[in-house]
Amino acid sequence: MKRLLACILALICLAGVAGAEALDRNTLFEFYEDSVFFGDSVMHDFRRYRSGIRQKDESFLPDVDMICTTSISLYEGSRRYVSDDHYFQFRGVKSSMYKLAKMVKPSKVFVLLGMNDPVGVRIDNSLIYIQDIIDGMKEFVPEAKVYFFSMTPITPRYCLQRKRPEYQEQLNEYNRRLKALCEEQGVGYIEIAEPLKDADGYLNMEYSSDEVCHLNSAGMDVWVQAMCDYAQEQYELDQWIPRAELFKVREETPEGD
Amino acid sequence: MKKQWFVIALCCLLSCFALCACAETVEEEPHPLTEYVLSIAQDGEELIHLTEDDLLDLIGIEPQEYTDFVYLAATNALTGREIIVLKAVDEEAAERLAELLQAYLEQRMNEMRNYLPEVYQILSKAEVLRKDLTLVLSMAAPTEDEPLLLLEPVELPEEAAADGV
Repeated sequence: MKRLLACILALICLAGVAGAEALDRNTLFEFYEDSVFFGDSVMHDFRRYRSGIRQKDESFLPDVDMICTTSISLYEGSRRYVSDDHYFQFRGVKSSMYKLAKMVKPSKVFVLLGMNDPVGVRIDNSLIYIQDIIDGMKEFVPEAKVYFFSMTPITPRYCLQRKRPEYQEQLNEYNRRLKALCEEQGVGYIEIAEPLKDADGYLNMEYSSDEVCHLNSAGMDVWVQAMCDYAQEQYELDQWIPRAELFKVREETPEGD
Repeated sequence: MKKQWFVIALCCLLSCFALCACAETVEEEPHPLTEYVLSIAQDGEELIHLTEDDLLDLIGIEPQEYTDFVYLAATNALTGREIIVLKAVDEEAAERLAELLQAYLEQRMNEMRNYLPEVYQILSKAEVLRKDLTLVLSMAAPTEDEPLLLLEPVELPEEAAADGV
């Protein structure tokens, strides 16, 4: 009996050691704390999804401000001035994303825009707007790290409605070039498109709320998992240290360093 | 000796189960205003509950301006479906809240005007209603009388009130 218990304890210890590198979800959410997310209707749904979950679980993506305008395009969002029709609004203030970011003073800025543009058709122009956002954030919130989400996939119905039969392939190319630009500029790129796709490379209908381009809660779950995977990757690349480990490092650092 | 080990292991296992049972979340106390709104809104069960942070971030309404609120919205923002009920702290606050709600309604309509014209048409029927310190903004309501019902609670007969209905 003693040997059996000893074996069970040893197995538990081994399992603990093997899983040490995989951070738990709440720790991974720390990566996104003190941040602001800018987006359009896709992000607006994500905001409501987050609010719904946080009703019962306050540990879910805490300390995140989400600023969304339903119909705003990448072009309109990248501008430093606002028009009467298109602006971001936060706490009663209508302004550009740059001024609102400056108001919030986050440590990280996340952006998902482009569903209201033909980014797949006008890739060069769209990447100019992305560069404008990178430059604008450097100027207004120089201390903040900037990240772009990949464009989420669309369904064949979207392609039919917009008369763009190859648009998903064009979006794929846009995402490839967006990723390259982010790497070149030293900003983050978070891949959320691939896990949302079906076998044919379109938005998986199981994840779609409108069978066009918006996500349901199952799709949002996938989005959140992709965010967690990204945070885990940053941890493994030593690009981010979770709070618990940061305190541990400070305790181990000898005095005078 | 073997029996002792077995008993200890069994006690540990039972303790674990007991602790898990104790970890259940405590039921929230009912909120009368929310319950009333849900009794009026036919689709109330499908709406998510937004918080005072959402009131502040989305509409610019500060917590010190109201004594009570309900903020419900559809998970799909493109439906335009939202219900906001506020009890202002005083007359001045009520006027400010009315302006903020009106600005918010106009913002949502602007977003939809060219993007989803059919939703724009639905939102254009919404208006900010006010009676004394109570304000209501009901957008894309499934029934025409929902906004007024939210603003003017039906007076219950005395016997129904006594029964707790």
